Amino acid sequence: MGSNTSRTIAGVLIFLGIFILPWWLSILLILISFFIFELFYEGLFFGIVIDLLYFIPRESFYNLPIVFILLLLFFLLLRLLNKQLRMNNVF
Amino acid sequence: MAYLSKNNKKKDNKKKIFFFGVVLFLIASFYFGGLFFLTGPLHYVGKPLWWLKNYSIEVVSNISTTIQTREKLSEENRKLKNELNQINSQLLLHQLLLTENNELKKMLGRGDENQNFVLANILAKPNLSPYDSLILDIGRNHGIKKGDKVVVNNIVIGKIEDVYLKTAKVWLYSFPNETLDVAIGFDKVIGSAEGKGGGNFEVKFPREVPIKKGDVVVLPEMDLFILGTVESILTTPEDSVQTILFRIPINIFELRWVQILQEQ
Repeated sequence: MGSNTSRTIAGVLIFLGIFILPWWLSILLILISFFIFELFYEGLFFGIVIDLLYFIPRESFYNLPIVFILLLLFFLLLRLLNKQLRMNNVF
Repeated sequence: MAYLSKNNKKKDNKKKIFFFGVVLFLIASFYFGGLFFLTGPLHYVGKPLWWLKNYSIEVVSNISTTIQTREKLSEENRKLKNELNQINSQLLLHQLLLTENNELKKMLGRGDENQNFVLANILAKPNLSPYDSLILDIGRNHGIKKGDKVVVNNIVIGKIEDVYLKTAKVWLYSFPNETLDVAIGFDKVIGSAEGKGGGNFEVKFPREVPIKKGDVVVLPEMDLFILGTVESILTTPEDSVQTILFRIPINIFELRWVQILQEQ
């Protein structure tokens, strides 16, 4: 099975999971996909979907979409770590 | 060693600027509510999936009941009958008091006769939602409005936060870190309760305030609907305050139906 096919299947399963699985499991699947697939932008899209479906603006969260922001931070951190590791390999 | 050409670097920078631009746009759209026009269509996509999930859970629980032994079921039946008898006698007293309360309120010109209940099916519960919210299967098509109270029998659990054509989002009062005015006990001591998620609350009072375990907690404006009962009181000899923990007397994770209280 090609990388693109498995990426598409993972995307579809996570999308369905958002509606069926407990929220923490859906987020865990997205985090795992960030490790497995390179530049898994779909994960950020799924973060937006979770926030659009369930988010209720509240002052305690500064009206910000927490799931999307946390996934974004994780995505950026992983990118940074990836770059650092590659740099270390070069030198 | 491989070096990035100037063109590649420019392209890379453009990509980064585009990415952060999109991210900023999305966060700002959430903050100002610009993206929420997509929630209705997403609920429309999710409705059959939620329905299928709830239906399959029901089927599985029915199968597990069927394969239980006959003895176990008859024992459970006997227990439930006993409980029902006890509850029925309490219910008679409750109805009597409720009628008396309503009559007294009418005499004082504070009757609640303009109330109407609409039954709604729960599509998504807090185990699916990271924000302690519920999604209901009715919306504007049933005249639901933002701010309508959501109750289960005579227990109030939250209020309608967003209404779409065929769905509605409910904000549960126990939403973490949100504060809510409550009245506790027979004397209706007013305090500010803080949500702890999953139907739990915490409220602080000076030690001198007489509150005991089992006291009923209500919303000051809805004293015929229970918000919870006091579960425990935490205090130490050095403390000048007591911490009251109370919870909604039903399990939100097992709920299937709620009523929406529409006030005309």
